[in-house]
Amino acid sequence: MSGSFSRRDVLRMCTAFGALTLAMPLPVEAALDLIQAAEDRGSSPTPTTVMGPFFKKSAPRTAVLRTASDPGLPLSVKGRVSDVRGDSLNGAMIEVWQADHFGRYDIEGYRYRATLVAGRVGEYEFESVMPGHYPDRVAQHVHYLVRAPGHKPLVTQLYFATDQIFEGNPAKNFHRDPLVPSMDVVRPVVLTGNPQAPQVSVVFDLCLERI
Amino acid sequence: MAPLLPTSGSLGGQTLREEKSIRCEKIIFALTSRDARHIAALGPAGFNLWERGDPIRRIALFPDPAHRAGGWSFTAWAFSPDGKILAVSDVAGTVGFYETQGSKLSRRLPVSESPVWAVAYSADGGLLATTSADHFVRVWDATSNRMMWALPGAEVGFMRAAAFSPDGAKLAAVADNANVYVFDVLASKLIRMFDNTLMASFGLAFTKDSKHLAVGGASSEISLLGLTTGVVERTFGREQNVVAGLTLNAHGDIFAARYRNPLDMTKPAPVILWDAASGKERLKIDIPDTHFNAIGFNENGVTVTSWSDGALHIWSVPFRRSDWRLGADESAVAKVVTPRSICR
Repeated sequence: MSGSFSRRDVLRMCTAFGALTLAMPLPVEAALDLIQAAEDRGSSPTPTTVMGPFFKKSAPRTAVLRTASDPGLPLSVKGRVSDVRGDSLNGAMIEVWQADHFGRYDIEGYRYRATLVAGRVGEYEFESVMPGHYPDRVAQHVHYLVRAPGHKPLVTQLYFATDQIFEGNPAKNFHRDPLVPSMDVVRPVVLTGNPQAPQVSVVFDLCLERI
Repeated sequence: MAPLLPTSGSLGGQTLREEKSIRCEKIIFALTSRDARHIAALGPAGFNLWERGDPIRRIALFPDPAHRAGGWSFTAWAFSPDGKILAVSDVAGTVGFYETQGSKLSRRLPVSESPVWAVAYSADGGLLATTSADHFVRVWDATSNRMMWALPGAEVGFMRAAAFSPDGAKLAAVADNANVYVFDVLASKLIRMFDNTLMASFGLAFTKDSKHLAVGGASSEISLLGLTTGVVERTFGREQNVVAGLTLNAHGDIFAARYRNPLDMTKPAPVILWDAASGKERLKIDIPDTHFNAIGFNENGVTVTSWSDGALHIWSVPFRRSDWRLGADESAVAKVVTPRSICR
């Protein structure tokens, strides 16, 4: 979650400040209702998606996946790892991997790959760039593998509501990528920074099933 | 097409020739039977089955029932060793057994309530292995629907490929979590899990003595795993593309690796034959604008297939066993025989 604000609050403020690029052709209130409805289902496990062929073991423990000179739109991702009862999963291991701005995975090394450890209240965050598109996949995405003792491992992917493939209406068009299982993993994108150095941020909470 | 192709290697004297081209719908994956007599080719609308001959004969077209709805059903396939049955798995969790002679679906095996991701026959054709999205590996009597055993495999990710050892005693499966699982078939237990490979493998093949397992995948190289030692004993086969498939010839001395572009499977990528003993490259088949979707060995050489310009192309590289044993250093550039279009 986003500090003391609910995601609805943040969305409302961002919309008011014109900082939201969520180009839904829906009224803002309707869009917020959709997202709030999804949040009210907070006890549901995060939908699983395919692991894909590019997972690589032993990714470094770092929350900074990009360098200052990397091409692409800087991306900040944060969220909270919890279980279906809402309990925080302190110490959960989160492995993330993604393509670079040009849609390429680093096979030789560990660019845009990281291992994160959830904090005291299950929080995590990392700095990266918006992943690029590539021909064999339709939508931009970040892969996740999340493990916590006593819980089923979660394999999922984060998608972006602003992805052009969704044409401004991810609720209607998320099926355009057959690997997107539901709207729950398509997250709003908030513009931050300034016009000279734009950045985007995304909140992606993760909910694991107990064994 | 250029008269000379950048096919190179130390076999010497071989000729890469386009044996046949078959006008057909888009093909994504293809498979040849062990004797390369039958070819199955999967496209969005379903799969075709051809019998090689002169002329080549299409035996059947099996449509994908999900195609009209924009989906897909078929997930993996394997020819029985005698080439008489093509086992095809699907997202509904079943395996269909298609007769290549009668061109019909003869039997359906319910495996799981979740998609089946890999099927493999034992060398004698008596057993069939499946992996599925419920994370289980199962072994079946291939002639009936009787399950021999079911064991958990990879906890996360697909197990994309499986293979029996030539002696039938072991079964291996590779998974997206980059682990390799080896089972004792008779004792029905996991005997080794290799977690020392960093990235997922998509192809695997046992050595002829069943003591080593070659795996290749996203790391763009082939790792030779020692089943006794439990370690990666050697790596070879490094290429800029990922390894999409791995096949060992009947004599056990040639690994054929099919490569593909990691992000765009329509981009060109080669087939390379590697000497199993030394790990040295022996022949590279690399045709401009071509990626290959199947490899098959027969007594006369190797057959590969590709799809482009609305046709499935069948290429063959005949070579003699004596050529392979020579180990000559001469570099070969294959000549292309004028393509013939057999079926329209």
